[in-house]
Amino acid sequence: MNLKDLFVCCPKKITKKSYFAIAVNSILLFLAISIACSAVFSFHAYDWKVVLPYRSVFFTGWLTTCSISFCSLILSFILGTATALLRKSDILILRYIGSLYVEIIRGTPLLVQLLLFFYVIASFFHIDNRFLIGILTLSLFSGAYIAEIIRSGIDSIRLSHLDSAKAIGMTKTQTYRFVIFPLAFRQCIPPLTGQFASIIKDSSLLSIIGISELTYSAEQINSATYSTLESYFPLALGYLILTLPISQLSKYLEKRFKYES
Amino acid sequence: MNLEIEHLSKKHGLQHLFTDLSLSTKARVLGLVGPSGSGKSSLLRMIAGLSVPDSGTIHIEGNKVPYKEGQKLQNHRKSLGIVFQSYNLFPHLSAIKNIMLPLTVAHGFKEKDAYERGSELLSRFQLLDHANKRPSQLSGGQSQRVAILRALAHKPGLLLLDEPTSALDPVMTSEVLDLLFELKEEGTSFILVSHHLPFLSKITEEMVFMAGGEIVEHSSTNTFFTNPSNPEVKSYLKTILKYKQTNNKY
Repeated sequence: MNLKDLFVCCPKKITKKSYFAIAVNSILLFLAISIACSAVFSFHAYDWKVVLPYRSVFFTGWLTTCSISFCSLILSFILGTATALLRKSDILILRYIGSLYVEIIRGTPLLVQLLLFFYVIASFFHIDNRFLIGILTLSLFSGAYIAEIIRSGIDSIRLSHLDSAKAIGMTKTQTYRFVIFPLAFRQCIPPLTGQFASIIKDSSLLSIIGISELTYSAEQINSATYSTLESYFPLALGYLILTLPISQLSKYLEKRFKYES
Repeated sequence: MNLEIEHLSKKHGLQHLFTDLSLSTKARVLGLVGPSGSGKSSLLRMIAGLSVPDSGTIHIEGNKVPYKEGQKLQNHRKSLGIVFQSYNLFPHLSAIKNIMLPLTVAHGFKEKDAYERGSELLSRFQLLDHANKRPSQLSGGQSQRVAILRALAHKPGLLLLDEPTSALDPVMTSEVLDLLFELKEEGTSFILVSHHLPFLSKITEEMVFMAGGEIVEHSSTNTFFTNPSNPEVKSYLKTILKYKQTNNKY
């Protein structure tokens, strides 16, 4: 075994040799990160006992983040699909509405939308439930991005497949249901799961309108105990626990729906 | 088949696909040949109701092809079977599901009946082992055969085939040709675009030669192959005949 075999491994050709290389590289990387982390973070005298009593606050915040993300995920998917269809509509005014929504939302920061929605729109409609406001804003924000993802998925479908559907005598609705959506779904999996991970991370901004989700809870614990690192390390971990499975799910789905088009 | 095409014209951008194309035939099997770009596929697409002529009419069995998008045009498309140059199977569906989809969606078959019809066709074409494979797992020849089965599963009155054997190896070609012969025996009408002249000479009743968007020769199959009137057709046949002779030496 020469030195090159220890560091080079083609992702498409995994052999016995490469398992050894994978192990070596993983250990090396782990050591390097450990050394770097201990150098940067070791100045701090950690005291986990101080934050331990607040673990239930942290956990409740995490659950709130979970439920907000989950609701927004479903709502924004529905909103995004509907908007994508609006933008494909033959009716001009519907197409304009779809485009306007996407451009305005994608052109402004989530924080600004959040403040506007909370202080202007929600108070106009007398919506007092902050939880609900959070979900609505997040869905509205994410829906615009999902609309673009789905629209590009629909656009990626080859004309010959649409021709086939036409030749068979399918109606437009049937074509969408049996041909366009199944084919577009495959194209959309990677960007869509990325967007779902973004929803979870973006939900951290909801802390500024006082929703006691994960980030808000961590800030509360920090201000009560003055233990910054002990509050914010678990915070990062709390988000990773949610986002890492999503990228695994993406890999699984991509494999499951793999076919040449 | 009773096909009447009258004064068909179509412009594609600045280019004229057809200027004034007329054709009247009662042949059960019509062969359509000509050089690439002569408008064979475009004509087939218009008969199928997939593209709309600028002017002119097409009557099939006395019924005018209704080009205004809607239920009538859909019914017209449903009444035909179309096989494309490149098989155009749906990549997300298995072979049998590809055959079943038009039956259940457009022709009101029950899932079970569609499945039975699909398996019946696949087994007749020695494809039953591949029923659950996706198009990406099928060879080009298998894909095209499945595509033909999909087009004829609902027993259409008229089958339109756009170079169905151009992607097949000789064995598969003869399997497809056998099936087409069988279909002819059963009474199915079809219009066949192909460069496979020996086959066309055996199966067709009439031949049409197109060049530059015009029909330059339309005659009975016998006349077409033995004594064509158009010099362009003569040289076309001669070229292919020459090739055949060289081939036969080996």
